[in-house]
Amino acid sequence: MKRLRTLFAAALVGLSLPAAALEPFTDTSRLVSIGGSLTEIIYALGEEAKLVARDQTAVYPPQALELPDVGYMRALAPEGVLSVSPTALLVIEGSGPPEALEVLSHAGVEYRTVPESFSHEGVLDKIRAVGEALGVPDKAEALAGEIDAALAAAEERTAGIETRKRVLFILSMQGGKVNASGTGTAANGIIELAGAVNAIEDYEGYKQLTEEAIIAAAPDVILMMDRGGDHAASEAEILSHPAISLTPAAQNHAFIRMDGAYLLGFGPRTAEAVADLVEALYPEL
Amino acid sequence: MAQASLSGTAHPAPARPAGDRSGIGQTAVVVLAGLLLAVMVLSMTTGASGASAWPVVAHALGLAPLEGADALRDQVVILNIRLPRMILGTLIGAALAVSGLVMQGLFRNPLADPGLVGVSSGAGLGAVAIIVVGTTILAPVTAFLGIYALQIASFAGGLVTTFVLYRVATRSGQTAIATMLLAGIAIGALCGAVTGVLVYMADDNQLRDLTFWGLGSLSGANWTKVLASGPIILAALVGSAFLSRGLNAMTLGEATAAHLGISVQPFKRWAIVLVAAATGASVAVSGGIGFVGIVVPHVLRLVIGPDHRYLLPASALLGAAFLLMADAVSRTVVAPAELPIGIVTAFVGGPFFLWILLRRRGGLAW
Amino acid sequence: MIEANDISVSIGGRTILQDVDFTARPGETTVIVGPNGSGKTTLLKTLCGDYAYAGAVRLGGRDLKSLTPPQAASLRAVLPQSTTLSFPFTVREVVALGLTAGRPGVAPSHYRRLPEEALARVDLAEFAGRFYGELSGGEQQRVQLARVLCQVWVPVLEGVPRFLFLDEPVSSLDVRHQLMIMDVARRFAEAGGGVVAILHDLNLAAMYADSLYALKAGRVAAEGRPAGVLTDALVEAVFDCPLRVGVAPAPDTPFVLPQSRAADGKPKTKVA
Repeated sequence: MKRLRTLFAAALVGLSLPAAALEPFTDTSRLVSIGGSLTEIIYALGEEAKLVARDQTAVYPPQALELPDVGYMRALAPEGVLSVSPTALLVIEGSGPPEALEVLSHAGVEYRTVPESFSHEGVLDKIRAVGEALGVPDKAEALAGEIDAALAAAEERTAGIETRKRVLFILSMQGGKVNASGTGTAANGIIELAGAVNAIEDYEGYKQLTEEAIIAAAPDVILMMDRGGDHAASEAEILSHPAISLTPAAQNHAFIRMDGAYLLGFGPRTAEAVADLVEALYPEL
Repeated sequence: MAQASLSGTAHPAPARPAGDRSGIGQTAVVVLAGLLLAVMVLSMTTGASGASAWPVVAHALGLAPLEGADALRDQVVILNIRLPRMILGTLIGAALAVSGLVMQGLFRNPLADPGLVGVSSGAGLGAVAIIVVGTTILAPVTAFLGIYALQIASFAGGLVTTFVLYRVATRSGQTAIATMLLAGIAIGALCGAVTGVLVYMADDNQLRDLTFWGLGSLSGANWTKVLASGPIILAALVGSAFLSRGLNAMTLGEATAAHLGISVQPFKRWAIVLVAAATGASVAVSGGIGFVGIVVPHVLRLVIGPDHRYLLPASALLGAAFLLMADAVSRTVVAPAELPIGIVTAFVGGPFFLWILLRRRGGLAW
Repeated sequence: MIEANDISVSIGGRTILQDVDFTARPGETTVIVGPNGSGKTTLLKTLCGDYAYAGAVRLGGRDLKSLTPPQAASLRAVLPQSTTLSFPFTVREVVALGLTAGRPGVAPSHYRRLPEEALARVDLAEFAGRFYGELSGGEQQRVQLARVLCQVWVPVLEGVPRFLFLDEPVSSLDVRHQLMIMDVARRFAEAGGGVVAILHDLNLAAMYADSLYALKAGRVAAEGRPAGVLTDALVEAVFDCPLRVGVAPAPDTPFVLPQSRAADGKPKTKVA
């Protein structure tokens, strides 16, 4: 429902702007990609030669980091984007602000918006959408097919499990306050793809949990993003948090860390990410 | 300049009598006007894209054709990005500085800023409401207001809180400034609480948006915003010029100002309206840009003295120049990305202000 | 001419003035005396238009309530008991504020010199460039008087006499400057203007008043020429203090009265 409302609002915004449908770009010689997953897809499709700039969230593959960075995807500066003389702008849903995109379109830069959806089909739709926009629908279909199979295989592995593990995704722990993911997020999506259950179902998005809620959630596993640095120390800190220490996850020392863009990007690497997560969650399989 | 005295002998009057700083004031206004002009040109000629301003301007004035592969791009950059941005930056910088100055005169306190009339908390609340619940609870409102819902809500929020504050502080036609200050604290706390609830409800994207709004930016400047906020700010700036006599008199206190011929209650009302309009219209399109309203009037007061006949225009000019310079920095230092302008104004303004204070410690006679 | 009839003023529920009749004539110095809390400042402020009142006040023949602030400012200038300044003005700038207020009544080309002339009148000629905040209390009071003088520089403008309202103008001053300032006021009156002053010092009041009002507990206890008002009985009744009028103290006790100033001598000033 939230997805629908967000799309509705985006469509309202889009009413005053040129159509955001995924028609092919007229000229993709100088392409700017806004959204880490879109950048990954472009590389996976072998179309990276067209890329002239990326946004802050594009961190993979490493070659992408060498491209100029036009800033945060929701706070684009029109002149900054124009400084790389783009002919085409591929943006993930939620990029903005709308005024910036409007100015860019007046400058003759076409832009297309790719919807975001944290699901198996969502990844495939993204790939197909990028393919459409770039005029390489066949390559995209091929890639989508590969990812589809890989994802299906990963999902298959956990299809028969009766008791699914409860996973608590912790976004951050500032000053002892646990910021955890509810439904509707990328974390929730990946957890479900990996055949597990989100320990939190009471709210959408990321919120701070009370200690009693953590205990009541009784997660079997704790999942976090990998931020580099000393892993052992932070793991100990987290598991010794008063509420967390009472959970099955702490008692079983079930703590998983994975790279953020890899885990939550919902792009070409998602199938591998799901497989890795399944391995970590259900080592007995 | 020789003047005849009553006894008929000519006394050459001194160039400036001792204690009369109007010469410094006039010089400052001229110098700052020149500075602003220079910075406006700088603003039009710098940018991440490297577009050249003069060819586009010449073309727009019908003086020369515009050619080249980048012609359309450069035209958009110069006329649709940099020009509205420069205009907005000038107006907002002037508005913030003048609002700060008027507030300091109204509250007779060098620490007063436009936020004291409640406009900042209200504007912030309006903006946060649209950002967080604009697609849920306030969806009909957002749909009605279109893509400028954020700006309209912000402006409206600022005006509503100012109006409430004014009514609370005004009894039998007399506005008690001290009451307004205290009520502002209360209403600010209330707005803060509601904002806090909304922030709690916000998701990741919305939190990012809120942060960026709070740091302020001229990045979204376009002609629509110029046409929406520009006339209001301009009217407020022009109106504020008429406040200088009253502001001077008010430094002696309200009773004495009245004895000096100032209609104090209408004066206060107009001052509050002008500040709310100027600040509300500015904050609506640029987010919260701090610092300009406090520092610019201060620095000028230390240099040219507290005579508002010169302080008002000088503040407007310096505020505009300062903001334009900060904006030029914000969009070139991490190009092609941009720094929120509030960061730059604080980074640049803070140390500079400290330096001025250290140098002029002896001159602070109040 | 200032006429007030049946003035009653209440502030915060308390009655400060009750049924006060007051007249101040141009060409005269009218002094108000009374103990603390008798309503002197309230009366003065009421005549300036600061407070709501019951009764009638006429300024220059016009109802006070009908005057706009600028109109009132051209008829009278007010020296308050104390003034705090919130920003660092120079002395000259403070004095020049008086120019923007009413109508000094001089030619515009004369404006530039007025602050200096006013400062000279109050014996602060060298102070123009100093910062107001650095001055002593007495010096600041004199600066304020200079400002007030600028506002109504010409005592009679277009046939209309203007008034100075002075609330304790000499309280912080040394005796020489007390006499100097009261002389300034008297000269203003002699030139046709009117002066209404609140004084604590009964001797100065006796010296300078053409008309004297004694207030007690919000009412006029006595009014008239100083000789008639300042009697033993009245002073004791109004001030709750057993003083004798015209009686020298015990032989070995020195006393220095302002009235003892040499009749022809005025304090030396630097007036041009």
